Amino acid sequence: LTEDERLDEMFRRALAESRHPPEPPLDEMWAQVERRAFDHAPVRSVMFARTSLWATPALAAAALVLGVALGRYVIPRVDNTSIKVSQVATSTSDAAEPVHHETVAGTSDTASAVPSVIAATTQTPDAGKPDSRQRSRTSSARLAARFEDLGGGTETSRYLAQTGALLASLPSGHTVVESDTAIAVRAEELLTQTHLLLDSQAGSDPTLHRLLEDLELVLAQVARLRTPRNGSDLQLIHQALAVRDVIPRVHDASVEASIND
Amino acid sequence: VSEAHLITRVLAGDRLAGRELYDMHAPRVFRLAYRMTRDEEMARECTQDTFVRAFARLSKFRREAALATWLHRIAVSTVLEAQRSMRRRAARFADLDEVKDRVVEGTEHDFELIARLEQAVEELPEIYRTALILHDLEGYTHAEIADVLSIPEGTSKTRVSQARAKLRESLVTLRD
Repeated sequence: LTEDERLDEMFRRALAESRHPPEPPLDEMWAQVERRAFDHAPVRSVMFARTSLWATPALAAAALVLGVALGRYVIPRVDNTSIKVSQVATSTSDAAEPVHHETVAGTSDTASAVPSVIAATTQTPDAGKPDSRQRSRTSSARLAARFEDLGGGTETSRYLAQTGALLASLPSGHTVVESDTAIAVRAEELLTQTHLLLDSQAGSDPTLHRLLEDLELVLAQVARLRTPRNGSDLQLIHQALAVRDVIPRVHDASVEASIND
Repeated sequence: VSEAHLITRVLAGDRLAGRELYDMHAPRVFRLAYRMTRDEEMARECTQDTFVRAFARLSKFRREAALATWLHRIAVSTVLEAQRSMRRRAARFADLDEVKDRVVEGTEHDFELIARLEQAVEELPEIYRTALILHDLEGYTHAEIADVLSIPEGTSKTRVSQARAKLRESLVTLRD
């Protein structure tokens, strides 16, 4: 052996001794691996299988624009139309009054116009002074129906996957939390979708409805993380998630929705 | 039960099959992670991350290479990412007291040699250090290192040789 080779061998043996590994805590490590790899596997697989959703921010932007457009234009228009139709309904002597048509989001395309006769038939006799709650409920139902027409089934699946991802990514409640605007903003967006889903056909399913109501509360709490808080707020959120078993239910519903897509 | 059968079962969501695969490979993955990090906690975290990542990507495992090689490729990548992101290297420079704590009584090497050697290893560029540990401590062949690091076999030989030369250069005073 040359001197260099003898040195190399000495170094190798010294390093092997210095870096002699301890016994691996196999069971302890497996508990973590099992929890992370298997307990949330379906949620994870849905998230990654749908990479195209994440890779197409245009979809998210379109959904946001749609939400804003519906919120700003459809609701007031439905309300005005309801009032007009109610007036028509109560004015039976005015038979010459033309039938009103409401148009969605202000479009003048007659092909997309929806006859408002249905709205007229749902009005009470004293609808000339429309009850605001009734009007709101009608508007909300129409909005939800419109939401479903525009692909609400797929939206449910996407919403659940994204909500599951957000909740799974919440930091633990053991440390002081800096202001996390990104999470809070995302929670607000998902909260809006929760409201839409609650009023949609999807929300008529009792199991999903209960889950959406729980998510509504949790997301509202998460949305408040916009300002710096101590760990207790997050601990409360985590407790709420645990007590109501929210994440496994989101996961189950997500799988169910993805199967039904 | 063959490894291929276990993989199929894991893909179907079978946890027991997952545990079997884990038991087959985790000890060596942990040992590799420890050799690379000299930090038990970090080795444990990297081992866990390796298996979580492996199970998540198992459907993409093409079964052309051995599962062990594929796992070790993920492990090396995981450890290197962890080391880079956690910036622990500076804190992991050999400390004589720490070495004393870990070296068993009756060792044939003196503390100063080990401390300086560890420091020299930590100061090696990452590509040399990784190849040296895989080859000299973990006993990988150059062909295996080539698979794990996705480099030509000749490059592996060069890196190990360069790493040894750098260590000798760093510890030249000990030679005297």
